[in-house]
Amino acid sequence: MKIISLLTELEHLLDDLSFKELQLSQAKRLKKSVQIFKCQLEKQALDYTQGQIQSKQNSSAFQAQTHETSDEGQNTNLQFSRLSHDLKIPLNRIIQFINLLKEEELSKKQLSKINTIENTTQTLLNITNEQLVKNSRLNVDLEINEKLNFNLRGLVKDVMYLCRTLLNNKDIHIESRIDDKVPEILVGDPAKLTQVLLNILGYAIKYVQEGSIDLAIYLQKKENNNYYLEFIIKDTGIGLATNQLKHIFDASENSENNRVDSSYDLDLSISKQIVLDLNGNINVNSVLGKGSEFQLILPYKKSSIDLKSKINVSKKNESNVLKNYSILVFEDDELERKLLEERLKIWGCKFYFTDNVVYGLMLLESHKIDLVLTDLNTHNYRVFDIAGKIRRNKVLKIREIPIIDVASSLAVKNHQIYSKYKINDQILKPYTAEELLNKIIENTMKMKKTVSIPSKYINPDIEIISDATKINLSKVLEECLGKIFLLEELVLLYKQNTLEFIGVLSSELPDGDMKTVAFAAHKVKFGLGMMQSKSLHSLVVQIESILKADGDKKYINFLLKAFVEEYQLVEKAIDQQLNALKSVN
Amino acid sequence: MINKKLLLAEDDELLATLLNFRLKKEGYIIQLCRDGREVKDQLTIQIPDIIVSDIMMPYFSGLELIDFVRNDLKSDVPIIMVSSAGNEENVLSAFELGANDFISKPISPSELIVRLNRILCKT
Repeated sequence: MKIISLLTELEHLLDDLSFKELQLSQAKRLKKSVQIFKCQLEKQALDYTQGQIQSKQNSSAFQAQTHETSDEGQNTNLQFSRLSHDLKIPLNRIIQFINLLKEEELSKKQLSKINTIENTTQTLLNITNEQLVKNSRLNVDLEINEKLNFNLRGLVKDVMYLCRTLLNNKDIHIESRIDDKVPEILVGDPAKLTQVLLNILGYAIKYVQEGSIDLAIYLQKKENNNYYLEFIIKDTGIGLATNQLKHIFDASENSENNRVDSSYDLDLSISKQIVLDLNGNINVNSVLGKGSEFQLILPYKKSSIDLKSKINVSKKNESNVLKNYSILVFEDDELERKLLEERLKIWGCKFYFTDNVVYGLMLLESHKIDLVLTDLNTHNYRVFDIAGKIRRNKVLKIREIPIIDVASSLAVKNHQIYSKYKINDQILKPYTAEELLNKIIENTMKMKKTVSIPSKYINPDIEIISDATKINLSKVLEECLGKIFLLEELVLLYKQNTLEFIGVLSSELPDGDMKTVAFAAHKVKFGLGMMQSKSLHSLVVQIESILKADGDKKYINFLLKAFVEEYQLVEKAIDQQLNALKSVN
Repeated sequence: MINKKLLLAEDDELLATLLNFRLKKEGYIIQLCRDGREVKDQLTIQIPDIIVSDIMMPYFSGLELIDFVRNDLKSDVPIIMVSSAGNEENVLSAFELGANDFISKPISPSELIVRLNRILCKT
C-alpha cells in the first residue's frame, strides 16, 4: 500500500509538470506509462490481497493441519516475488523515459520537477528490488552449471546496486573494485556467481551496523585459458569467534547457536555448495568485534569475444554511432517500441518495427538488415518461431543475421533453447542504453567471424502464416440482419475499395501527393476492419505511421507489395466464406 | 415507424451501404451524401431531423460541417460525428463546435441506432 501512495504522489507530480513547455508527446507518453503502470499495480495488489484472503479462508477450514500455514507462507512469498518482478520492468521504463526527457533542453524548474519524479520512482524501484533480491536467492537452478559469456563488471555493478537497496539507511560504505588484469568477458555461470555474491554480501550487510563492506576481485593465477579469480569480501561487522567460525557454512549448527538469522546461514551453506560445484573454494577469516573476510576462488575461462574491437562511446558521442546500421525489431508493446525508437533515432540507425513474423521475414528478404532484435512479451515460442524461420531461410545472408532477444527474466534454461535456435545473444530487462548499444555492436562485429550455417538447416518450404484462414464473416452477416444479398454487396464494395487503395498507392507513390496516400490509407481501414482482415489492417496502420514519420517511400512500397500478396489470400478466403454462408442460408 | 429524416454523410461506400440498409429498416428516411459538397448542397435545400457525419470527408470536413450548420444555418439539428480511433483531438473540437454525440469506428450499426434513438427522444 505504501507503493500505491508513492505512485499517487508521482502521478500528481506529473500533473504539475508544465506540459506546454515540455515536448508534449514525450510528457504525454511519460504520464501514460505511469498511469498504465499504476493500473497494473492496483490490479496486482488486488489479486494479491484476494489471494491472501482466500488462502486464509482455506487454512481456517483446515486448522487441524498445521503444515497448511507454512504452505500459505510460501505461496505468499512466491506471489510477492512475482509481483515485484512485474513491477520492476514498468518502473524501469519510467526511469528510461525520464532519462530521455532529461536529454532535452529543460528549464531549471522543469529539471527539478523531473528530478523529484525520478527520485520517487527510484524509491519505488528500490522497494521492489529488495523483494527481488530475496527472490533471486531462491531461484537459481543448482543442478546445471552454465557456460555462458558474461560481463563481470556489469554483473558486479548490478550486485552492488541491489546491495545498496538493502542497506536501509544504515551508515555503511559499500564499494567494489576489480583488478585490471581480470578479463572483461568471462565464460561461466553468471547466475550462480550473482547468487553467491548476493548471499555473502547480504550476510555482511546483516551484521554490519556501521563502517564498510568491500568487494575486491583479483586475478589469482592464470593457467592456459583458465582464469582463477579471487573475490575478497571484507566487512567491519561484529565478527565471529573461532568456534563459530568452524561452523559458519553449516546451517543446522548455526541455528542451534541462535546467534544468527537462520535464513542467512542457509544462504551461506548453499553458497559453499555452489562454489564447490563450480570447482572453487571458499574461506572465511574473522576477528570477534572487528569484522569478517570471506575469500572465494572461482575458475573461469576468458571469452573469445574480443572486446578491444568494441567501440567505446562516451555518452556525448552516442549520437549517430550506428549510422550505417539497419535493425529490424519485433516488438509487440507500444511503449517499449516508442522507447526503443527514441534510442535508435539518437544512434542514427535505420530501423523497422513489426510484430508480425511474416512481414518481418519479408523485410529481411527485401532490405539490408544487420541485426534482429526480438522483444515479444506474449510468448517465447514466437521468438523461437522467428529465429527458426530466419535460420532456415534460403538466403545465406539472412540465415546469418545476428539475433538478440530482449528477455524480461533471466531464465537460465532458456540458454539451451537459445543455442538450439542459434539466437546469438540475450539482453535482460531492464537494460541501460549503453548495454544495448554494446550488445548491438558486439553482435554485428561477431557476425563477420561466424561460420556459415550448413545447408542442412535450409527448409525450402518456408511457411507463410496468414490471417486469411481466420476470417469469419458470420458476424458481418449478423450486422446485415442475416441478409445474404447485403453481405454480397458489402463484399463487392470491400473488394472495390481495397483494389482502389492499391491503385491509389501504386500511382501516387512514385512522385504523387502523399496526402492522397494518407487519406486513402485512412479510408481503407474501415472496410478492412469490418471484414476482419487484421493482417491487411495492420499493414495499413504501419503505412500510416511511416507517412507520419519520415515517409520512406521504399518502405511503404515494400509494405504495399506485402499488402497485395496478402490481399490475394484474404480475397480467396472471403469468397470461400461467402459461398459457405450462402449454402447454409 | 420513426419516419425521421436522417442525413448520412459518409464517403466510405461500404459503411454507407450497411448503415443505409440498417437505418432504413429502423424507419428512417435517408439522405445519403458522399462528400462535403453534397452535404452542403443538401442542407441548403432542406434541414433533416438528425445528421450523422464522418469527421474526415473530402472537400468539406465534418468539423466544417458542424460550424456551417450551427453558425451559418443557425440550426440546432442534432449531429452525431463518426470518427476513427486515435482522432480524439478532433472529437473534442467537434463537441466544442456543437456536436451532440460521437461514435468511433469500427461502428456497430446497432450502437448507432441506440444513440440515434436516445438523442431523438430527448429532442
